[in-house]
Amino acid sequence: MIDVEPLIWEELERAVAPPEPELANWGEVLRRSGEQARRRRRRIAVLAVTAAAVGALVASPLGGAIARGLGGFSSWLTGAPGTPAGSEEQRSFERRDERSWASFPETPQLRELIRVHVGEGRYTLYGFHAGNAFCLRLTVTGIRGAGPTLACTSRSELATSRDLVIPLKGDVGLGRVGPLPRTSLDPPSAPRAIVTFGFAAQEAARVRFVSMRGAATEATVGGGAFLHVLDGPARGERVVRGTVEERTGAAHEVRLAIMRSNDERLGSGLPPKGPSHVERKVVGGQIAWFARRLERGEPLSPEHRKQFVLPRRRIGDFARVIQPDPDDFLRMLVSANDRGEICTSLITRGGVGGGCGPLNRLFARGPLALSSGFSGAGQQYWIVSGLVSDEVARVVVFLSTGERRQAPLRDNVVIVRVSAAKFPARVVGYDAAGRVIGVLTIGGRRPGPRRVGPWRVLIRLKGDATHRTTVLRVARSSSGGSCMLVSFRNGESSGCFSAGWRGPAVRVGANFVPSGGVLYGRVRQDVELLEVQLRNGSIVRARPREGFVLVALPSFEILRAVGRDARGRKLGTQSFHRP
Amino acid sequence: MRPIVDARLREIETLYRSRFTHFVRVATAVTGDRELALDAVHDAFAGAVRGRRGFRREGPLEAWLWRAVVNAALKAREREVVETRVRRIDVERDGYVTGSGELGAVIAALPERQRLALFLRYYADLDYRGIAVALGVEVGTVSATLSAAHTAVRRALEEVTR
Repeated sequence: MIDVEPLIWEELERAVAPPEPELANWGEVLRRSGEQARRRRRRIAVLAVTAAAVGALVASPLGGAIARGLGGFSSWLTGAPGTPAGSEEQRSFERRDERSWASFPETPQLRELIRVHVGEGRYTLYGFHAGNAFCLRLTVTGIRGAGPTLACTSRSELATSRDLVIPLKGDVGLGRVGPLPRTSLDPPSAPRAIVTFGFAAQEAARVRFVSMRGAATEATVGGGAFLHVLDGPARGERVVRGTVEERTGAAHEVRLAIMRSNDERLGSGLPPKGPSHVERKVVGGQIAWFARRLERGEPLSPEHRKQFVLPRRRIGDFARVIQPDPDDFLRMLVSANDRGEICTSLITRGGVGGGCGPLNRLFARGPLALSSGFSGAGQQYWIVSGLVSDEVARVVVFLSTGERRQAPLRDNVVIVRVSAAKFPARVVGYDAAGRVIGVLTIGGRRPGPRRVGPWRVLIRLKGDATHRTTVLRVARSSSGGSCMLVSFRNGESSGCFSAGWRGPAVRVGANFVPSGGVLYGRVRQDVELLEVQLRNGSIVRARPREGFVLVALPSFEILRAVGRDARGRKLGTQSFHRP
Repeated sequence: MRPIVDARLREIETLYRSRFTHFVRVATAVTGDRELALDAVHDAFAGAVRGRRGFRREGPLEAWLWRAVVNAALKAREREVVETRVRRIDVERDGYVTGSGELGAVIAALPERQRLALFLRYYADLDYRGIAVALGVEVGTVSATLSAAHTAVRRALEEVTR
């Protein structure tokens, strides 16, 4: 029997595009609600408003997309833009592809789309599609350290998007001038170039991007793509916005997801769309095939099993690789670890990442156990992925622009790419009867606390196990709390916190090297003493300073950290697993 | 009385602004034409503003507005068909813009109530109760109508794929 609901949804989504919010005209409503005697004049007003609405289609930042209609990316969907790539480039690409776990199902044939020479760099943009994944690959010569950059989106994005350009990477720095900053206190180095690239509809004639200084520079458009290179940017300079011009001369804003400061949030600035409440409450769901250890998807190959270590513990015997969209390379490893937990790891071309948790708590708050993230600089598409309970029959992503995307779902695994420029996005789960049973909003939340005052050194550890000085700095946070920055030899850790305290009394982390480590973090104000118990039986004690701790450890084999009050009573414990 | 009416006007305005794209999308699906749809939505809201004193809170205000928009869109479509006959070649007799594939034609051929229920469910994200008020039917009828629409589409597609 055919499951028609997704088909109907797809058809309706394709048939009637959402209108631009700019067409709303409350003044017109009020005018029309006037006296009957003014009807003739109102009709004139209607015509004027209709004309204005049509005009707005051309003049508004996004209206051209409506006038354009479908088919703008048809050169990609139905053909092969550009010219075949050289054999050397094709072989280089294939070698890299073979090394990736998330290799393409069939070897894609690269197409050369754009070749430009800007400053010291020679840039070549290639494109290809493999199943439902449509990708662009930028190679650069002449700039040291600028390796090939790959980014992909889904067929559904090209098929249903009404934008004139679809950026895949934005504001990506290549090469550098000056020393690489090692901590956030170091000044940033200036890249040798900043690139932005993506797909371009046939109607896109000119694409321009503007840097923080306000200078607009032209992108190269061709082969169904665009490539913008900002050569020799000043230190700290960024590409912040773009415009695309149709052949008619109408200009529209390019939707870019670029965060210029920690205070900003990614997205369109529009409110979230789609259902905001569930129509049926579902908690405590299950994944029957996992509980019964049924062999769904593909097994984990022995070589991947050997090299694959999940957080905390190694994989148990049961591990399946699920591919929600069989025509895409994105996959998820679903496994049971030796603690009986369920573990998920998203497999992308950028790497593998995930975590574990008890199955009985996975759906404690609802049927959607999803997370979102991205890998790689300038990434315009985030990946929303995870597990849904058996009650979920369909998952739809509602973008703030009014567009929506059906998320691939198979064997309880969801993986879908979402444009960060169109955040906030609502991920909505429906049951078999079409009722909303889960809603998750991604992006667009208020940013957390940020640093508002200068850093001051609170604790300095000299001659720790790393034979370097480790420093813990603090500053005021925007929400009345504090910020912490710990600088190690091999990196740093930072965060800002609200005033007050929630959760366990001890919140610490550890930074390890083979000869030992450093334990750092925060404790509740009433914690007077922190005891760090090591696996060899020894105990290291430290007194918090202003609620912060920084402790040098002779061994990385930590068992637990215990916080005690002035009378020695235990206030909180944090356990550690073997690193 | 006046403050209540003015508060209602603000409520109507809030719903107009927050749900504008949904109203226009449903009206476009009904009329098959974006301009007609805009016109119908503005007409419907103008009527709601005029008649807001008559709204008795027997159901949610939004559902009342949906009913007005659907009716305005149906009227606009009838007007257009009568006035232009065969001028619009991309609009079927029933308004919905047919897709190039079979499914578009199948949806366009569904009975009016089934099509409207689909539009309100999909484009407006209304629950069964909201759809019931907007269409002036019982909640149970909405469930049966959507089920019948799915069955009809399934049958048509199975015939095509056979």
